Amino acid sequence: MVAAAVLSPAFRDAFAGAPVAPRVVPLRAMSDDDQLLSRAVAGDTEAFRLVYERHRVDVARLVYRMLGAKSDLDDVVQEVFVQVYRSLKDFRGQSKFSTWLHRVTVNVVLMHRRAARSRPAYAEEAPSDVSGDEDAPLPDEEADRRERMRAFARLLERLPEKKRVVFILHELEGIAPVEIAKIVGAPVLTVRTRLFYARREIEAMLDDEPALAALKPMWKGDGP
Amino acid sequence: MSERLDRIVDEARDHLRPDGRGDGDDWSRVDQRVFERISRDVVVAKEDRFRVARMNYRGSPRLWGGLAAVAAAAALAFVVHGPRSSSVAGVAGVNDAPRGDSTSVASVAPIMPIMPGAAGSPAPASNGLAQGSTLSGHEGDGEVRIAGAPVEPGRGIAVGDRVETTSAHAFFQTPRAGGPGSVSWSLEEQTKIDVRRTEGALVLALAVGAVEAQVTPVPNGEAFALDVGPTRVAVHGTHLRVARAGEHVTVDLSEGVVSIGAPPRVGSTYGTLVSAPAHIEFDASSVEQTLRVVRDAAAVRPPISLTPASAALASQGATPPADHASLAPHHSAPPPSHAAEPAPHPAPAVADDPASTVTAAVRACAGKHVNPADVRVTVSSKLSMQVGDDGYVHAARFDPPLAPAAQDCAARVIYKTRFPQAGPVEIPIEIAP
Repeated sequence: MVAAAVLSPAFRDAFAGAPVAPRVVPLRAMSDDDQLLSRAVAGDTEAFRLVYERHRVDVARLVYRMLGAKSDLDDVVQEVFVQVYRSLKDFRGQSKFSTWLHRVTVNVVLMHRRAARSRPAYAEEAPSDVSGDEDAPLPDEEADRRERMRAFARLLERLPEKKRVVFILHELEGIAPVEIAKIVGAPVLTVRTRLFYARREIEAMLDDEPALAALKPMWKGDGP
Repeated sequence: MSERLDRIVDEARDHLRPDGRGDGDDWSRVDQRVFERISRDVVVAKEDRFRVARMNYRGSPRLWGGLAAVAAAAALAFVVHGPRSSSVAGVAGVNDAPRGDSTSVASVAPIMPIMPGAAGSPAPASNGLAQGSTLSGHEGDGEVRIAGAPVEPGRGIAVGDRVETTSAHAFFQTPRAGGPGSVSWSLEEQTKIDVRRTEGALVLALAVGAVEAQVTPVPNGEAFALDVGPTRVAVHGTHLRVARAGEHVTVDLSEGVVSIGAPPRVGSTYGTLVSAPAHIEFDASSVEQTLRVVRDAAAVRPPISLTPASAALASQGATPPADHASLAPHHSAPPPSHAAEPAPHPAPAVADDPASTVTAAVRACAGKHVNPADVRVTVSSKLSMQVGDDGYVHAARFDPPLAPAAQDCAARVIYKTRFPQAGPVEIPIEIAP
């Protein structure tokens, strides 16, 4: 059974200018982050360890979505936190730590991708793994879903870099355009424009992926 | 957004996530690497401060000595606690080069610019050891020469000595065998090294051939370092084998951690940290661009005993133990010249057609690791191998490279295949869908 189709008003709102409430809390609530960060800046590595353990899953997820492959995931996550450690003293608390952490992550991933582009590769590794469900779908369903995710990752890969970044941050990570603007260092209006065109380009590419195109009739016909 | 895209995005939010990187998964490998690098940063920062202090108090060596002692103590005191991370004390990196910024490539720590002039004999981080070594024995028909003259067991080495082997396998031992920082090391046949330093740490420069060493860990600093051209392989405590053929270097790391980078002007080598097991390859003149690490125990050459068989027999009496064959090198050593010595470890026979064996393995690995959804194209790659005198592949390189997983898979066969002749071997391989 196919679940009810869910429109994404947040996406439309993103370009329409209405305020968007993040649907996903991208990084966990950080009530005592400030205290931990203060200790970490002062050289308390145990405090930094707690910050690291608190955010590593979220960073790994964002890195994975932006990299489009898992092969370098650990290396990039490692680099993100090393850069965070080195730059902690520059974090003034003027923005949320999560925003700052996202900015570091995005920058490290982009640098990594640029470095990787200069290296020849036999085959671009598409994500071959997706997380499991507690509901344990049937093997066929699981296989179909994995293929859809691989196809979707390939579409993301085809997006121009700036559009891909804002699309992932907003649509997958659930970050509001105002925050994304701080992360990527662009005006909010520019972020919304990129989101609009990213969405339009992805929609245009959907039929290029058989795994996604094949779902069209089923989804069109199987409403709630 | 279209209904279809909405659905896909909703699904991706929940399922486009990396396996094994969620809450409750094993993060120990990432944890360890993150905090190793951070600990290195901490030590670099301390060294920077002390360097400034030294500039300010250059006329006061006593004060500088005191500061250095505090630095060492601080480095030792930096221990990261955590349920899945080990102590990182002692894995210290010191570098005068600018620290890495956000542009540094992941997993490769900044490596100092190559400075041929500075590579003469830079001092590793001091650990207070005297590492002059003594020839403890040799095996084979050939000779061990120091400064051009044949030598016998008991001969020591000194800074500036060139040590070379012909058709012999030479074994050396630093004082205090088994104590912290002691080094048991051996030179394989047709190897030439120069002794660069014996105080603080044993530093050798490998001109050609292969060196294998076992280093008892030291609490801080480096006990042993091997310079290969302008690149240093520095050791805190480990068992490793380093082989050089021209500019191509292979390191087989069976225990511990090494740091690979340019020799520092002072302190520990600030380079890429690699932990065992690992098979490492790079070009000595461009390590940053060429470094390749295969983290697979199957790709690592098995370590050999670094005690000469004759010495082991002498220490155990005239009757060799039943399992004495394990004392002999697993590879590369020629049969002992006298009957009392143990038989060499039986080497695998030369493959009937090693090139075909390797080609088939590469194709199988490439086929296994290609994503079925990828566009199918025929790929041509050239496999260049350097086969050692023992018939084993010492170095292998794909040009252009295959997918990392395919290369790692192929390496398991490549490094176990025995060729009939030494020297370079090139195999063009076409991989069709």
